[in-house]
Amino acid sequence: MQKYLYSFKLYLLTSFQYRFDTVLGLVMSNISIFITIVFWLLVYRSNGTGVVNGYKIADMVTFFVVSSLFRTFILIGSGFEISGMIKNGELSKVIIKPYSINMFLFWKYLSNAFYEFSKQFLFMLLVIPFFARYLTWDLTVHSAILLVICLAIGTVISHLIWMLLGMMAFWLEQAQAVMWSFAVILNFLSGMFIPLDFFPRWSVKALEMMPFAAFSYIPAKLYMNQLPFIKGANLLLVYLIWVFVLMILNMIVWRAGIKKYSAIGG
Amino acid sequence: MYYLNLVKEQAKLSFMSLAIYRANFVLMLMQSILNTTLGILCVEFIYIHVDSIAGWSQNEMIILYCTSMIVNQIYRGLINPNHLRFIESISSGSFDRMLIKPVSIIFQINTGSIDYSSLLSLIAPIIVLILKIGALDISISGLNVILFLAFLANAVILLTSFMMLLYSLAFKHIKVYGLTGIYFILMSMSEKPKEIFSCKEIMYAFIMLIPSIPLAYVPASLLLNKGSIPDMIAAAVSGILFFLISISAIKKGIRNYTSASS
Repeated sequence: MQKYLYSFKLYLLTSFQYRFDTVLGLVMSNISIFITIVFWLLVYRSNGTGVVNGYKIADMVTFFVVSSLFRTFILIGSGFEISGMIKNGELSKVIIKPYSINMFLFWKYLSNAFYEFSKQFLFMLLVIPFFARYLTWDLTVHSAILLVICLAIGTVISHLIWMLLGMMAFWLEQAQAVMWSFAVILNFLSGMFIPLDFFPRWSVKALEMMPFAAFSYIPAKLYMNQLPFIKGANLLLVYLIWVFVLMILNMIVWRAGIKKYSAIGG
Repeated sequence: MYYLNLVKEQAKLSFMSLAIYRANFVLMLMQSILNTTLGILCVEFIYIHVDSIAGWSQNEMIILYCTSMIVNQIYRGLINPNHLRFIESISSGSFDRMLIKPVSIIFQINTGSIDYSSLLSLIAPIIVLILKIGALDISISGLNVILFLAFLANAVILLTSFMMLLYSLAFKHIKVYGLTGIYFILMSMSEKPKEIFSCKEIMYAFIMLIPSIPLAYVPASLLLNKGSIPDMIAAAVSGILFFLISISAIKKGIRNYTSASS
């Protein structure tokens, strides 16, 4: 375990090296959120009632602000890294080392997630006083506990899903193109563009049970205290089951892929 | 004629490359169509709960979105691969080879390879656009269509010039890949009506400084008889200004350029 924690610390320190990139990334991502929020302000101005699908304007702004914060814990990088390693043969060097590549990538990209979360959180602390009237704060102790657990589970789920998608490179020449397609679908179905309860009613319950709802939609609903405790706890159990299912799938795919894997050269 | 022949040869070479990497072509095409479809679904889901947004009905908003997609895919198909190759060439030193060729450097920066998957994925937004126009209870005249096409061309030129201006920073800063984020922000803004900017000064800033409004709002509003002469003039002026400024920036960059390799 120490080796993984060491790599976590190392990659966290590396993230602090590229300051210009950090500032640029921070500015870009927050402009995107700002555009989304301004668009929804227009929707509410046009609607006139102040409530759209049960969301008040403060609820909608809060949803997008907190879900953008929670999305920093989606470990998309691990999938692309494993895919790259398989494609260019780097995997050969890694599989002979005395550690699990899965765990290594998890801790590496978790450090990156902490870094992204920290800088985004600090930025929001600076900006929030100017937009306080557009935000809600309904977090209770019970919701906070569920939120933290949900974020942890969502992080693990995102890593396992992306590792599965990255391991397509064992069979597909153009795995990364397929992965980007999945990224678009996952973003859509995880409520990145609009909250899942804006989807047709018949689909909402099913989408909430899907593992990607844990990325940001359910954590945002927990933050806003819009999910009853029992329902939140039940959903967490469902996501835990998804973690086990995805872990088993990862093991099966990894074993099948490694049998097929070959790399030319040393 | 010389440049036309060059464009023909480039198109042929790009097509030959596509024939080799068929799977990649199919996958990129699927991804582009998926992007368009999911974007349209987002608009449809919002309109389940509202009747109109800033006077734009569901069909009109989808037409706006499709117009943005058309501009986006034309840029990604014809220009974007060449812009990325340009900024790569500055850091790798291969820009020197571009300088010694007997072809205009502006031409080389903007042309070269064609992404046929992006061009083919134009089919989805064009079909949806035509269907939604048919569903609207308005008459579209020939003049509307001509103005739409003219300002669509203006939008592509404007986007190309704006991105070329940004990428000219590569002459000074070398690694400018982070600036592609501005492209995604620009396209995200262009999918929305100009009414998101409630303040007139901010609105004009998004025509003349960060030109998102002329990209899709102006052509779409002209198609839907919602356009205005000031918007048309502002869009045209913005297009011309950015075109001239971007060329001047590239020429200045070349004057200050020093090679990264021998």
